[in-house]
Amino acid sequence: MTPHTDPTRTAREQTPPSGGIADVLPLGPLQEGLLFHHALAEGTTDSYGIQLRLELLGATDPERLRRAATALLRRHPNLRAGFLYEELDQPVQFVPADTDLDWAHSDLTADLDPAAAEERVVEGEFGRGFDLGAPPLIRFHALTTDPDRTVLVITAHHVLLDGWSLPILTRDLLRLYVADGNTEALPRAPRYRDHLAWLEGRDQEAARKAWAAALDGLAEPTLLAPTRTPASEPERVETSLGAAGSDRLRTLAADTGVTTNTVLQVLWALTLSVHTGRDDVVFGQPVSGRPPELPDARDAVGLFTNTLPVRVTLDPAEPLADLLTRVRLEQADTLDHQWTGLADIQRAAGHGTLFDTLLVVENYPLDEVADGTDHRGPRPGRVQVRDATHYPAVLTVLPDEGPERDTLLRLDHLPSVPATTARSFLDLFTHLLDQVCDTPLRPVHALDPLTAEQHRRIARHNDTERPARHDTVNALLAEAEHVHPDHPAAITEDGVLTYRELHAEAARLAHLLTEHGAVAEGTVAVALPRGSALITAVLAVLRSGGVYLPLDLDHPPARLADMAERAGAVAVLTTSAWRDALADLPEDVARVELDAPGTIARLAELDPLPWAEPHPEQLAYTLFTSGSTGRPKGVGVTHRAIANRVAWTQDTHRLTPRDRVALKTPVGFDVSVWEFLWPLAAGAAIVTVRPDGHRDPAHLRELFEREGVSVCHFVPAMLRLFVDDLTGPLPALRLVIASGEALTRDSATAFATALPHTRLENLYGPTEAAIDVTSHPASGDARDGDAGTVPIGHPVHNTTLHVLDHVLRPVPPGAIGELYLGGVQLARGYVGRPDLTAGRFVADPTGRAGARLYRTGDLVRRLPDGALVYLGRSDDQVKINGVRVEPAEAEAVLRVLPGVADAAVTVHTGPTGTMFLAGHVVPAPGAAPDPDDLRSRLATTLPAALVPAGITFLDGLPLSVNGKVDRGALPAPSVAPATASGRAPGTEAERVLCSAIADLLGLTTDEVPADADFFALGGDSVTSIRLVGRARAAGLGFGVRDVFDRRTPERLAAFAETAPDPTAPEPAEPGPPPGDEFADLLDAGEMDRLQRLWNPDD
Amino acid sequence: MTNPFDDADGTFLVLVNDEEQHSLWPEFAQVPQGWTPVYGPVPRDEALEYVDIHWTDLRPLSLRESLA
Repeated sequence: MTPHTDPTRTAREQTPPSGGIADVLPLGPLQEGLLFHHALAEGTTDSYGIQLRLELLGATDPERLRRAATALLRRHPNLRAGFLYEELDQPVQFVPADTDLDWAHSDLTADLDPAAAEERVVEGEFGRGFDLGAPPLIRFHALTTDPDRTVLVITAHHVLLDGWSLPILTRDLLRLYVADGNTEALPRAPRYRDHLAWLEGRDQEAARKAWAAALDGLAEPTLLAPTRTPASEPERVETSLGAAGSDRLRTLAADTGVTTNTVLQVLWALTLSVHTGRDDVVFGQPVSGRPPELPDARDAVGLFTNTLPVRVTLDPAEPLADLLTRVRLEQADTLDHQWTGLADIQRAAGHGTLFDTLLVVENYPLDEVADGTDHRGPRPGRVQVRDATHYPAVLTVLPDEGPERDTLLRLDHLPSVPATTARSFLDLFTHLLDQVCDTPLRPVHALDPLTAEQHRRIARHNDTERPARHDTVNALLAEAEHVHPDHPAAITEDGVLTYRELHAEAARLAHLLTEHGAVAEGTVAVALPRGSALITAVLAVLRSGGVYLPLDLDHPPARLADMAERAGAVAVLTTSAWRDALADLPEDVARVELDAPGTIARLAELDPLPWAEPHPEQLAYTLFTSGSTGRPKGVGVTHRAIANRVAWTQDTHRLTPRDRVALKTPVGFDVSVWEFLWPLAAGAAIVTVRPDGHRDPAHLRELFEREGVSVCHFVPAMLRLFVDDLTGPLPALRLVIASGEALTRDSATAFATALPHTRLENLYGPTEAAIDVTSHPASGDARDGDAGTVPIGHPVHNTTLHVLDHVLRPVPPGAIGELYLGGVQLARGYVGRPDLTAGRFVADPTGRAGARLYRTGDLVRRLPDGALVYLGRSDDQVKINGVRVEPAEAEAVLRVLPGVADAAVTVHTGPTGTMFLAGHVVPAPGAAPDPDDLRSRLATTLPAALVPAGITFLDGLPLSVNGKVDRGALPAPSVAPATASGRAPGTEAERVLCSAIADLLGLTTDEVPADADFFALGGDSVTSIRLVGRARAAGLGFGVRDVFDRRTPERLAAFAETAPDPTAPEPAEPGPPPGDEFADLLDAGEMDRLQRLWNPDD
Repeated sequence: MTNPFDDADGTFLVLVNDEEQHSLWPEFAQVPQGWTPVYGPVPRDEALEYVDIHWTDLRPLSLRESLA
């Protein structure tokens, strides 16, 4: 049986309140924030408790302790405060003249296991929530565990007091115990309301400017967790610096003329920089908030503390010592404005949440509790504080709490930061500290974030060398032709072709191509729909030793012409049906129409051409992808590169002559390259999907069943549609390869359920590195840090993966960095663009002499086993329906259309999670361009995925402080013309809400249409509380959560009108105003309502 | 995050390897083995202009020699 506390021995007492309201006060900045989180939690425990467990040694009289606690609440009126925002213009804290004491006493002396019982009480008190409208928000529970030991557990909502208050609170309580509750025996207590009055007198404008300057140019916040995590009690990891390390820290500070606080700030900034891959980082640091101007405040109890952003910009070339002094100087400008609320700072900086990690250096002196107390009372023993946090990582530096009274580093972390990552933070912090201390004059980029062991581990992950049997695709294809002459090679709507038949046709066509100038490195365009002619054409170009350039006939003629011209095509293989689509191609590109009588006649005369034997560095194909300069970029891929890719996939997923591989990917997309070459290098058969059939799940299912397709590729979005449409098993289908965009765990699970016997592999790679460079099975459980996706995995043969930071250093496992690729699969470069090539295919800084790396622009993280996780782009590039899209390309084209003075194109995520482009256009003077007309003009040069879904017009593009277009400030796009119409409010409820929002956000009512998004207009957590308060006063009932969910006056009004009617406000009656600097906080009616709420029986 | 190669305000070198391939290179970083600076330090635009003018054949030297 579990020993437990007999409830009969726990006396809990609560007397009804009486006496009315003594004081009404505004809220301090942090109090507003906490009230917001409380309102957001809506009745569930908001977890912002703070708990002090105070051990009292020596005989302690619980009744006397209770009288002391009662006196404590008399002495500090703000400990009696409650908080209200509903029905009020602005939230207030009210101080009842008198409250009961929430007090309990448990006698555990007879308990079988008093220690366990004590823990249960402590736990229970911490877990019990608070209703901020129903004070007291502080409660006491005394536990007598033996005659000489009493434990007093004080649990309060954080909105009442901060950690710095705890030593003062404890000291006062012990003195009041000695004085037996006589508050007169103690010197006058400093008043929290004086602090609030002092705050009211600050220069808001000067503070706003100082913080805006301090955070000027900050591109993005520094966040470890993508979404806000609910507050909870964190896990903890610790390490100590040792006596020597602590000394070195102090010496470094002294030698460079800064405080140890500055050194710790810079080290934490460097740690975050390494982990997040950013060179401009922000974290929070709590300050005591007890201003020197109010010397009394040092002895005051209340919520004074404030959390302020610390921003550190990193210049790779700057010596560390200079960085330290610069950070110290930069902070001087905000020293006078440490009282500013974080919400105000964020508004001034033009950002939402700025950070989600804290550095805590200035800790409150709990030791002082034990020192200097009155010897006539019980002696304080062990003092423990529990605190919850919503920050995923809080680093606390305790100067002399380590085992040798040295510096202890303590990292409190929430589940969004796994323990391994938390541990790696501390390791990195100390590893960096060692280097900074060793060589303070070394520049930032010369710091090595990796330990020797980490370097070795990464080298092992990159040990992928595998000698190639063939280093051209011609050799691979010729071998299969020789080994499997009578096996089916292509199964199309025209019938079945054997290897012998297919290659015989291709060999004669190759011969014909040589007559049109196809030679080594000569480019031949292929413009044919999916079918046997397309396969023959691709083989013919390769056989001739030329470079094939696929032209996707779905693209606009102008784009096809641009590609053919820039690739220097000598000929185009096509049919007469596509003459119009190719009309814009330069005249000197020979049109070889396969259905032309002349072509047919000439082919009949020609001998088959033997396989050309290209140099492995010769190009095999050129493929165009979206380019940020406004024109697509042609990527030239070598034989060695694509032969390696094909050989790897054959070694890994071995095709046999029985396999049938679907050719379904449009030719402009590089996946089609392996759909041609892999089966034809392995003796397997290609099954062609009819043109357009790749978008039709029913056609695919029917074809796969009929032809027994065993291997195919899907872009994840299409895979999902295909899987959801399946009605039965596809027994022949053994392998599906997904690539082109992130494969979510969710899609992988849906796949496994629908096709339990089919293997699903996730591949990743850019066109610039021969299609794919990594792979990972989609089976297996979710892993810490995988971002809800299947990892992109490990490198293919002869390929290395490098995750580098902004100064080209490898980042430690778990940290975010940009992926650079090395090895034989790198493309030669961008055809005709040496400048772009030199900026993207760059010298390899990781040690292989003379080698190049391709920088992908993809952000990744390495898991402990070396597998990579894809996390997004470092630039604006997106995938729309699997197509690589540079918004800048659409922007460049849009900007030069007639009637357009300037333009921007931004990426947005639609309600269903799909991405789309939005155009923002500044019309030329006097011009009034039509959005549909602009879109159709774009469609003449851009593929569909690059045409913005909607276009909006602006007088000018918003600029950021550095003069660049401020994309974040562009209005949200209106894709469907029916939404965000600027509709004026129609109902009374909408009018009330629009006018309240306008007032709260400093806008005119014209600027707040009924369908405007509150947050898009500038609303935030603090203003949302005020909106709820004002709405309730007008009889419209909804909560803070509803503001977040419903967002517009229209939807909020509709919701409020259908929701249960809240207590309707009654006509105001004159009441006595509080009569001081806060007198105008509430009008008479509001004061009356407050009195009624607080004292309903009066 | 600005990639060091995309930093419009950065200072750059132009490097060349034995295959006469060119690479943009941020001045702050150590020049990797097997590469030789041939131009710079200059602003990014100037470095790219140099590449455009001087790297006229993207084929690696060994391939050019073998096809010649």
